[in-house]
Amino acid sequence: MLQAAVLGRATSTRKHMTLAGQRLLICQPLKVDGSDDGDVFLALDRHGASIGDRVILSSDGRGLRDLLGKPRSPARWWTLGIIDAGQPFGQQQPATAQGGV
Amino acid sequence: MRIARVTGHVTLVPRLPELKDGRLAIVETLDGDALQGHSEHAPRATPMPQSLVVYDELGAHEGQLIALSEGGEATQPFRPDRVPVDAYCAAILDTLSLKD
Repeated sequence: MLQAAVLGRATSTRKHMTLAGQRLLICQPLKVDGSDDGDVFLALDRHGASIGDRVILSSDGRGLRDLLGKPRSPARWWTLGIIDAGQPFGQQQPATAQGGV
Repeated sequence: MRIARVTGHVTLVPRLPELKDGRLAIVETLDGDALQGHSEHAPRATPMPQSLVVYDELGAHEGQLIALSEGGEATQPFRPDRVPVDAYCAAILDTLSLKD
């Protein structure tokens, strides 16, 4: 799973039949500290995430195919949920007194 | 699925029987910079990250943007057949609305 920023949305009329009715979000994967982490890509969204939101993405294609009930879908990335706006980026756990793990 | 722009096509002779009726499109993948400059067609500072050949059943033509499915997911549409494809055109994109 990845943390990603929603950059925008893509629309398509001519597409694989299993993508019909699915929202396509343009996502920029993020590192823990919020900086960009690799290529921008498209993810399927069922939670209504909008531009500027941060989402948690899953790359479990099999899980998505089961979720959609469409074993022939070419999609892989999908949103598990939207991160609360107030949630700061991944703060590191404070190291324990003796130098921590 | 990454976003890519079709830049040309490849024809194969002879052709693998499994690759039934699809065309092979040459595409270049778009990264964040390319997408930011997408609407104004701003010139690129860095070269496109990658170009590859994609199996396309939807008939995408040059200049169109497609959703590019790769790896294991690229073979799912062919189930139950097993086809040696690792890049598949899952959709032809009409519009991209990006954060300005």
